[in-house]
Amino acid sequence: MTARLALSPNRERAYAAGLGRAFGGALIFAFPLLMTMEMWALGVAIPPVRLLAFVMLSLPLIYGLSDFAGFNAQRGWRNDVFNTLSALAVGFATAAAFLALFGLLGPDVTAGEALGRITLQGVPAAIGATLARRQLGAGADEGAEDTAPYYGELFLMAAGALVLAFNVAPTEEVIRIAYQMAGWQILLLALVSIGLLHVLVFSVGFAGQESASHPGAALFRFTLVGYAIAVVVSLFVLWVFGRLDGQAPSTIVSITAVLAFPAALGAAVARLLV
Amino acid sequence: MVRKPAPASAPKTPASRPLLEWAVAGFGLVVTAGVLIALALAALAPASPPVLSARAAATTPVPAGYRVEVEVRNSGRRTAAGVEVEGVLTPPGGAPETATASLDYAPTGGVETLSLLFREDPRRGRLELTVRGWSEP
Repeated sequence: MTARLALSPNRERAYAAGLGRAFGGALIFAFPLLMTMEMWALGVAIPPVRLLAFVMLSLPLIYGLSDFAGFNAQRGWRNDVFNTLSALAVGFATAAAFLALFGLLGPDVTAGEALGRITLQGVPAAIGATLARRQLGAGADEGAEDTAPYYGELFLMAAGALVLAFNVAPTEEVIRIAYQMAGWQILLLALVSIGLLHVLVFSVGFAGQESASHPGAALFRFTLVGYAIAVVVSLFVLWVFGRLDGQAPSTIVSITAVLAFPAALGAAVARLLV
Repeated sequence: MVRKPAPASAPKTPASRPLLEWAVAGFGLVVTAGVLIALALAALAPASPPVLSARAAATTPVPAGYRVEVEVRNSGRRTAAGVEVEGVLTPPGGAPETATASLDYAPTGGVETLSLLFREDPRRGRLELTVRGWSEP
């Protein structure tokens, strides 16, 4: 047991450097949300059941991302668990620290309110912490996810869609835009989203070289599936934020199509993020 | 970045894990489990509609008249949004004076503060505070 917990200054220092990067990543991903008014209000307004569902679904997402990115290049489920927990610690700490700094956790804020606010902001911050190594690291170990299997690619698309959708979904503008648009504009936006997704998937080289020679196959294997993922992620995020409550089915379609636009972009450029 | 190959390529030996990582991951486990438990408890608690009450906490003379600090308490189990509070001040001699203010949110179990302004001194008259209404968040 003493050998297990032996202190090695080099190892500690290497981990501390990774931790520093993780805080940087958490901040870069979370600051637009930390500085969005609706997010403070939503921390209070979201029913606990939905917040619970959001956290529960985020845990496998962060775990999966740890497998692709994570704090260090080590592999294995045990390492992924440690990376996930470290990312959550960094995410919650970052969210709590900056919410407190912004005066949003003052003495007049109830415990439930603070819990809602920190949770809602801490989870995206934890995702940012997980992606920090890839974003801010030395980039010494590219390659591991270049060989990601098909379902791995779809998982990355879902993660990218969630990251961008989550940044836009809390704002009032999503609903405003949906109200402004006529039916044909909604349809056109969906087609533009699919088109951009397809083009970006190719330009970013997401689909892998073997599919690039068969654009038709990639359309079905990645683009349409990717758009479906973007739509499902958008629906989930809108449900968490209560944006769909009491809306007519046609309005739900419009709002989802509007949010699916950034979600599709996120799915397309997931490879750049992760 | 120079990394020694031995620890990087031996992920299954727990001996290679830094103490700091144990501490941070442990903190993450405690916080995440705490959040999940707190949310589950909150989700299981029966939801009752907002119960709002308003009371005057303090009165301060200001250049424009008198400022009454009003505390709005929500003792229900649901958050109320757009809470409208009205104060009617009836001075000993003269016409009643009405002031209104609204709160963005009154969270469960919380006390929020707003201010009402009156020309007359509320301490020398009868001040009635009423929560006029609110909306679902």
